[in-house]
Amino acid sequence: MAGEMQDTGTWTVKTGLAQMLKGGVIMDVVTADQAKIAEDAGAVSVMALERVPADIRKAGGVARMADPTKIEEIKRVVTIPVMAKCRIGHFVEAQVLQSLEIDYIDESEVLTPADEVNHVWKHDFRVPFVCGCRNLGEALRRIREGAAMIRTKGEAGTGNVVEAVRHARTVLQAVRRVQGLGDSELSAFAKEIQAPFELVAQLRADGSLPVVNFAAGGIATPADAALMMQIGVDGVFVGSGIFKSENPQRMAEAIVKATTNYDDPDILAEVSRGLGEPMRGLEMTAIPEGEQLAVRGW
Amino acid sequence: MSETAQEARIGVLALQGGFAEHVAMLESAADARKDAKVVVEEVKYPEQLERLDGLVIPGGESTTLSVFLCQNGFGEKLRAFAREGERRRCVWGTCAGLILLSDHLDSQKQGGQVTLGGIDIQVTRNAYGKQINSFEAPLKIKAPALFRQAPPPGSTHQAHDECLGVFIRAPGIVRVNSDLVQTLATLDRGSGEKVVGVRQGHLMATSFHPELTSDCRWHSYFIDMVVTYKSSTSL
Repeated sequence: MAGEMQDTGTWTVKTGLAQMLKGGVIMDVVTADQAKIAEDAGAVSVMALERVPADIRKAGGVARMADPTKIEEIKRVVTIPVMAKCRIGHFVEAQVLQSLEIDYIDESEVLTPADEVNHVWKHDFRVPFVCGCRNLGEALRRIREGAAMIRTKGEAGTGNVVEAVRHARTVLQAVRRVQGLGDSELSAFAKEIQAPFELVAQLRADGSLPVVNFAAGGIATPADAALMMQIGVDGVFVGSGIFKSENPQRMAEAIVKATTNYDDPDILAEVSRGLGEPMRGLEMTAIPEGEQLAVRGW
Repeated sequence: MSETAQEARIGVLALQGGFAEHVAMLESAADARKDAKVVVEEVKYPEQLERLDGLVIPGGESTTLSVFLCQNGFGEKLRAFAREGERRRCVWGTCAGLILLSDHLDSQKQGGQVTLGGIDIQVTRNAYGKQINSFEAPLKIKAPALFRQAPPPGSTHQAHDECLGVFIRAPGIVRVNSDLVQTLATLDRGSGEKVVGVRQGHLMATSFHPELTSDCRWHSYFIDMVVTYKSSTSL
């Protein structure tokens, strides 16, 4: 019977949702009101959180999955997809998020890792996962574990785009480098970056990553978003950058417009005008040893 | 006249969503045929519409598309483009694009959203549920013109009148209100046939994503539509 042949949770529908998010902005929100503001501004998705990364950084302690009540509150008020974060390796938090029918799970370094060796085996889930990476090897390892979308990590909660740029450039340079490798060099390269050989070979054949790749971690202005798009990512996550700015609604609208019109400086100038103070940024050197989030995950 | 009739310029609305996939599919469908010269372009500005013979509105978030269509008269220009007029141009909407082309929309987000209308159907957003319920399933193709080509090699659906339907947080066509609406494809999940692809004159809409498969028959069909429709004006 035709009805039995249909299938949920397939690789195509997992990666397909990420493809539909391309060219868009995914915004961190901590209340239903913020979620509405994000949706009205044109966000393609919201990330439901207990705290934005800047506040996680300030609060210290162990950061965990958000309270299901909070997540459901946010899910109720928007029609765009809702994402939520679980701790690295915390497959039970992931099971809870799947039970809440969240649209995408972010296995995130912004929360305190639960396992210092293993990430979640994401193929076990029907809900798709997005994972952070700093380089191509990390990206391909996450994809092998079942991540249907990748985001470069940047340094969350800083409002400083420098790490996002570093990570996106590192990944995309490596993607280009693979194109130039000969058959006899592929295996050594896969070993060097600690990535599965088949995925490296597939990458060379396709000329691009097998999943959508967004930028995250430190994007705080429309120009930051456009910068990441011009460097070559498919879309952006904005965490603290919107609701820690002086005028979140205008900032949200401006970043959405900048992400679509990333290559049009006239529009970028227009949307950058009179936005008020962006979030206060952090120099990387001001972050104490051991408090960098990007080094979490392996 | 026949020479110009065989040329077609097709745009893909490139504000947000899966537009690159449509561009790639249209280009490969165009390469495969010798009878028409097809130029494909990404559309970001309302001024570009003027030179097009056809437009694809891709999947993406319809609320996000609405934000862009509400500014610079983009929505107005698009509405005029989709209206049947002297310049005979075709529009195909997939997923979010289907929502835009429908005359009646249920479960609208508070505050409403931009619609273009033109196809007399009633549509519900996220009709199949959350992402966890997104699915792929074989579809029955009802449009004879799509039968002409075989499915791509290696495809799991080998019958000529079948294709793979990929549904991602897809809108559902809950009612067809007019005889002018032709059914192009149906889905049967065990609870009866549901209409998932329609055409009304120069407008086509699918709640699934042919651009996420390797089967470019739908794109080829749309090119046929654009070329035929355009040449019918020149007579």
